[in-house]
Amino acid sequence: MLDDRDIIALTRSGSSDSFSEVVERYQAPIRRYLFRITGDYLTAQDMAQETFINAYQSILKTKSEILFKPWLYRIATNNAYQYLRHKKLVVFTSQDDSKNQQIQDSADSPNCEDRIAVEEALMKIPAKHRACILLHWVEGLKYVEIGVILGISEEAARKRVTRGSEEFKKVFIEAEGVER
Amino acid sequence: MKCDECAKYLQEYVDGELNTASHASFETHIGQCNMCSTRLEASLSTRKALGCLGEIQQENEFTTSVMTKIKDAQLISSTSKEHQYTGRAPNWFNWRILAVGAVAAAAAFTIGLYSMLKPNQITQVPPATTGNPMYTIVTPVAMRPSALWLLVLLFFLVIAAGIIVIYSRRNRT
Repeated sequence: MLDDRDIIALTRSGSSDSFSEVVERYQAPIRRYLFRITGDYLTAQDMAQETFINAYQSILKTKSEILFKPWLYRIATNNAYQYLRHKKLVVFTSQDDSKNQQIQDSADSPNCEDRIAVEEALMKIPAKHRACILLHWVEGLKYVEIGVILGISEEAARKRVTRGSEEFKKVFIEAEGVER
Repeated sequence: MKCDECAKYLQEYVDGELNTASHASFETHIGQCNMCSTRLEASLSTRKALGCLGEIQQENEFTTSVMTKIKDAQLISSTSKEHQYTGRAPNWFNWRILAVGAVAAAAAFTIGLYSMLKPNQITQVPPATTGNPMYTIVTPVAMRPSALWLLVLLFFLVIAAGIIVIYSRRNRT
């Protein structure tokens, strides 16, 4: 199996088909990450496609060496932030949650009630902290990689993860307290 | 162990990757420090809660759809370089803002420069004062202090606009 660096080299040399291998490799994590940030399945699907297309075009434009995984998350994060900024400006309309519900029902998780509470709590914390805790606790990225993705220092990434975790815990416990 | 050090080891501790010596030192500190203990608890409970989120399954159609769009874009770019598919707002928008900004800055600069110039002051000096026939004193062009401030303000505005443009272009990738 080719590693990311080889695939980038092949893509630059004109083999666009080799790029399908990285799309296959990262599609599920990127779709999952975008779904958790935006809270909307269909938006996350479109945004993930846009992220890969942006990545492909940027690979052809730049000749410098790229750490593909953090770089891909960086494009995805920028797209998600852009969407969230735009969402703040438009009037809220009722969403069709059937697809989101489908994801929740089909997901292999022991406790569905908890999962819904976790997703709701996640959407209540600020986007920049949500992105950090998702990148760290769900995607398993190190602080230094999160720093690269968000354009901040390793120390700042660590602080955001800590602050995000504290905020999440507070919101999650409050929500559980109200339910009980 | 101090709090700063404890914060750095937090991830390794949660992942169970801390070596024996640091592990003991970490746990001793956690037992004594309320702040670090709260942070550890928040990290452990967040990790546990996020672990119950469902997985999103691999989709074969997704890769096919992305690759089709990429190939379509290549086909379009080979037939017309002016209409490349980028999957986002076209670049001309930023360039247009830049061009309009540059014209506005140039206009403001010209107005500022013009307002710096004060009309030449012409003074008629009567013969009684000097003993010479009447002559004219022309005061040279001078700067107005308010115009100078305007120029300084314009300078900073242009610098700020430049920084915003560079930053937005860098964030695009």
